[in-house]
Amino acid sequence: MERPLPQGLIPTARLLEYLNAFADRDPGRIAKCFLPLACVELPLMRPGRLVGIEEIVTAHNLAFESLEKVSLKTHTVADSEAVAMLSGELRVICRGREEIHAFAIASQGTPQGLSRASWYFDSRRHRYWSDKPVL
Amino acid sequence: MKPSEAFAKYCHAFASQDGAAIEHLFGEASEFSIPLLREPVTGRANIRAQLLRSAIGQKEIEVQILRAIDLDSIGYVEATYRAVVVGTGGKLDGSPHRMDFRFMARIVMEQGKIKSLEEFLDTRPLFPDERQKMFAVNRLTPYFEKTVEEGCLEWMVYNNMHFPLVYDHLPYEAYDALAKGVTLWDVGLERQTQVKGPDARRFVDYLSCRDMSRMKTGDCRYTILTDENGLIMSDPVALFIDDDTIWLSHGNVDLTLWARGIVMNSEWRVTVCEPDVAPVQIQGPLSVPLLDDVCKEPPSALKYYKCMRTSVDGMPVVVSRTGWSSGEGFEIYPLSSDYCIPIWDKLKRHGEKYGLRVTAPNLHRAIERGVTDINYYNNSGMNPLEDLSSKLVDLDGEAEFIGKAALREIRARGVSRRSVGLLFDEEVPRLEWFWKLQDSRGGGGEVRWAVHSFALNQSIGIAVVDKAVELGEVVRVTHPRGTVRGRVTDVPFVSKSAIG
Repeated sequence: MERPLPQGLIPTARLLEYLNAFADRDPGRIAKCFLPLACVELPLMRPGRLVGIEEIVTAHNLAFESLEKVSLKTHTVADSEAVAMLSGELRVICRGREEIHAFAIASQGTPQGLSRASWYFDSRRHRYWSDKPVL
Repeated sequence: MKPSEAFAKYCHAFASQDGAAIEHLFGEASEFSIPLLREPVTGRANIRAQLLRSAIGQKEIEVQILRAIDLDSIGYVEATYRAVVVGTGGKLDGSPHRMDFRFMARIVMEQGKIKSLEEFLDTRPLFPDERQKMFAVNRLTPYFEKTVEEGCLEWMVYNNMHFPLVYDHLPYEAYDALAKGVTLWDVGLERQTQVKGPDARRFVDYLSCRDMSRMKTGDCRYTILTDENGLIMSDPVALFIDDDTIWLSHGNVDLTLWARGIVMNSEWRVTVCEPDVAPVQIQGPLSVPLLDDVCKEPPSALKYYKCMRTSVDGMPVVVSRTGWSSGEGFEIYPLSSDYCIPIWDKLKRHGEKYGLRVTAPNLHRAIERGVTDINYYNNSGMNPLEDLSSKLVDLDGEAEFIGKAALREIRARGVSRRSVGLLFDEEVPRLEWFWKLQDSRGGGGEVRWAVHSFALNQSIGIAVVDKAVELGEVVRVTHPRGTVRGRVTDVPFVSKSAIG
């Protein structure tokens, strides 16, 4: 991550942990951010909606095979008791080419972990990070 | 006003197509961005124009805010958007094309106005997975790669070339750009039959139902060509390029082969060929200043249906004040396909300040104004006396033309059919081939064109019907999804100034 992010309520802390782990391409740490039946929606990973820790970790693993480098810049987090939202810029080197995605993310969770993290960015003109779907 | 409150007002104004309310929410330097637009939009007036354009192209718009969090002047919203796309004719199974998605927005407020509104969504589900793939047996125009870059999704085959036809997810956006701005069309598939030689004018007069004898260099004339039985072969525009050179800029027909066949072993002192000329059209009210910027001699000096030689950055072209839009516009004919890409790029660069948009010829607007296209393979067995342009046929002049005798006989017997407009009582699907029609007397006919009219906000069509069918009469039309009624009306459907 390119700048230190403020700590906040539970959802924010978990969301930031997830984003840090994503930037470090660490599926093991990603797994610890989520509840067992959490859902992650990430446009450039098939099938787009990942349900449960196993799918979430498998999909991230597959993505990181192509993502040689990841960096994230984020704007101010807005949060309430159970929801955290932020926007920013995601830069990756994927298969040797740089991609830049203006993104937003909405997350919900409990003290035990995130139940949902939904990324919003336009994937249309990009190839999926992995050609293998996670089903 | 909190960011989330401003956003809620914005959603309501958008869904209501309320331009004034939209504009009121933004400031002079506000910025709006959404992945459905290539660039952010800046300024309240531009934001209003863009948002209205998007809103009018849809109906049954619903936005539901799922959750919102405000943090002083910044707010985030997660919401759902649902709408029906207007003007596509729906899917094959009859269901409408929809724009349904979940999205987020980040709103930044300043002095009670939205300073920036950024929407985040994945547009991939809203479009086909990839563009239509071409088959190798058809030619590409010189502009093909440019049309791919511009995001063309669908092509048809026209003169054995690929004709880019669908770029936009909302048909209204292309219509609006043509009606109010300026558009650039790849019509390199619009081929020219070049007739050159001392007999060029007489030969073109012989091919054409319309008197060409008084045409001079620099003139253009829309005309109809028939076969020996009087059946419509083509409706080209003739361009009188030089004293001994005429181009017939034609539709989807092997006109060059036809003309070459007539000339072969004849005494006509002409050569016939298809030159290496691939035109573009620049259509819309802002085409005039754009072309004046780009061409060496200002085409604004041309009258309608005139042409001239000029150049673009030293590359020779012919420019005509013609086109398939019934509005302001020009056609540029680069005199070699080597010039096509540089000219396209120049038009794009200079067109930016006019909001130039790459589109296809706009079927919605063309049919509203009665502009059509007819060729041998799709003529419904019509002769020109049955067509919308029947008044252009010159049967009483001195000059002979192919089909004259047959058409005089038809006139003497009585023309049995005519072309009319239809106002449909419900939305019709995209017309893939002609639809059967039945009038109240049991007579038959064919619907040859059917589109959504944005000016009239309903489906319209053009049909060939029995001559006894009168204005105001209701006919029944059978299309692949069922039967609709159409009320017979005049063509054009709307005046030049009536825009959706």
